[in-house]
Amino acid sequence: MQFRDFAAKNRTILTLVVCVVFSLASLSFSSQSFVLRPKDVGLSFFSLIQSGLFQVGSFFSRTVASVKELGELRRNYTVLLDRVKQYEGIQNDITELRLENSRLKSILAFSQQMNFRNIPAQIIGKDPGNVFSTIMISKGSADGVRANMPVVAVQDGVQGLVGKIESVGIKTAIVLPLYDHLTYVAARLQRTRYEGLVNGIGENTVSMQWVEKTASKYIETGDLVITSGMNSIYPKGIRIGRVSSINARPSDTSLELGLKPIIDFATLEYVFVIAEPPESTTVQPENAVSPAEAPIGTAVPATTNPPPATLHGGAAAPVPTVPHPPIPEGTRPEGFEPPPPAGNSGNTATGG
Amino acid sequence: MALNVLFSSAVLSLLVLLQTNILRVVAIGGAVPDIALITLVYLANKNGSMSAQVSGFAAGIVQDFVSLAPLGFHALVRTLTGYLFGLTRGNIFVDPILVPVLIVLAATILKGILTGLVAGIFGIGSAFPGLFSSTFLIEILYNSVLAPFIFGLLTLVRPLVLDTRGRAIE
Repeated sequence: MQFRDFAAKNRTILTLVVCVVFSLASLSFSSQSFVLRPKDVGLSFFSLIQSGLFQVGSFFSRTVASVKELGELRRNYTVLLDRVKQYEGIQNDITELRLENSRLKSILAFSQQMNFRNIPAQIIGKDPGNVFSTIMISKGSADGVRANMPVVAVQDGVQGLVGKIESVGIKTAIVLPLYDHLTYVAARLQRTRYEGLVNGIGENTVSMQWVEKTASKYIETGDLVITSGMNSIYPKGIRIGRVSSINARPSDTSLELGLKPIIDFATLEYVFVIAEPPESTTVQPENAVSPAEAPIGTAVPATTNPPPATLHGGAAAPVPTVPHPPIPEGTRPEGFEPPPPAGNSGNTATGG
Repeated sequence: MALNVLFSSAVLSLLVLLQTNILRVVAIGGAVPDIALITLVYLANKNGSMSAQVSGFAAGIVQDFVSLAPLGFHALVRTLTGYLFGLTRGNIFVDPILVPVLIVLAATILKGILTGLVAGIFGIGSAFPGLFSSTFLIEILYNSVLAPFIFGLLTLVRPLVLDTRGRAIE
């Protein structure tokens, strides 16, 4: 009875305590990897709502864009003849469609060009606050996306590293971007071959640490940094960024390089989740140049990647991929070469 | 009361989800206004600590699900924010402009302090770059500027959907 009276009198405080204790318990457990599952379950649930909201948002943004376009046409009506205005509107639409078509074709070309299975996805959301660097994509476990899969993108014909999958819902997944504080990528300077560890430092900036100090004589601003393939997550040869600053403090035993990421995250719309990189099963010679490492316009000697080995030693069945329609000759993006026929998954890609 | 708490929680959770994509359209300098926080402060002032802390907790959990934050991070921050600003109920008279600006300014700064504290205690290093960035400063200003409009809108809408008698929930 006394407890009831006490509970009735202090209901607010008791509820506060329950909420705080639950939050603290969740926080404590979340720091250990085995308890990521409840978060995934929650993400799965809310990802359905999120997808719906994205669709609604897209609808409204399209509607608003259409209204704006109509308003523009109306203003033109007072100046130009009606027929001319209509043609102008149609011309605008066609131009927009052509641009979109061209953009999508270049993305499709890139998707075909990659010699590993990839899952194209659209960025549908970012962090609800401004503290964390969450990127949410439109593909989830239902599409084959799994945690720790690397994510790349292509911008202006250049492939670059975006990050890796952190957690997966049914319809959406959360990407840990390259510039996040928790991101570590084994990397290498493409020209001088010095190795280091790329780490995000927030606000779209990354740094490369633990570079041998003697390398300072050879490294120059603008040098390209690529993944070295020395950890199990990121395939070898994906472009990360270019050296923007070289910090050689006398007290340090190694160099720290400031990097400008290849990918402009502010304008990023589409990404590719790498489902099965061939590098995980193929050991490349030290002097081999992967397509992504090759300078643009340079042909890379064709190599043959064997099908991925299975646990019992045999060759695995080829990974089913969605067949892409052939791209007409005149519409291919600059520098793009069609993918080689089956059985020769090595390529003459331009490294775009 | 339970219905009101549920409704408040649903509204705040929806606002959090909207902040992930649709509200990104109105971002300034990469900063999205924290509409959910402004609404939480409004509801806390109207309904008191009990309702606000539970609604804040629910919205925080949803935010944890859809962000890189560990589960419980935002739940804790928003629970405490809801509780503390619930104490203003009956003690602060909310005028149309100045008080909403000041109260939301204080709430956003408090959110930053609590976020820093929780991140520091639990070693969540990835929270700090965002916290000590110009983006967060813009968010503080953005939230403050939006506060009178959202408070005004909620004042108009609230009698229609929440407590039609205009009575405090607790």
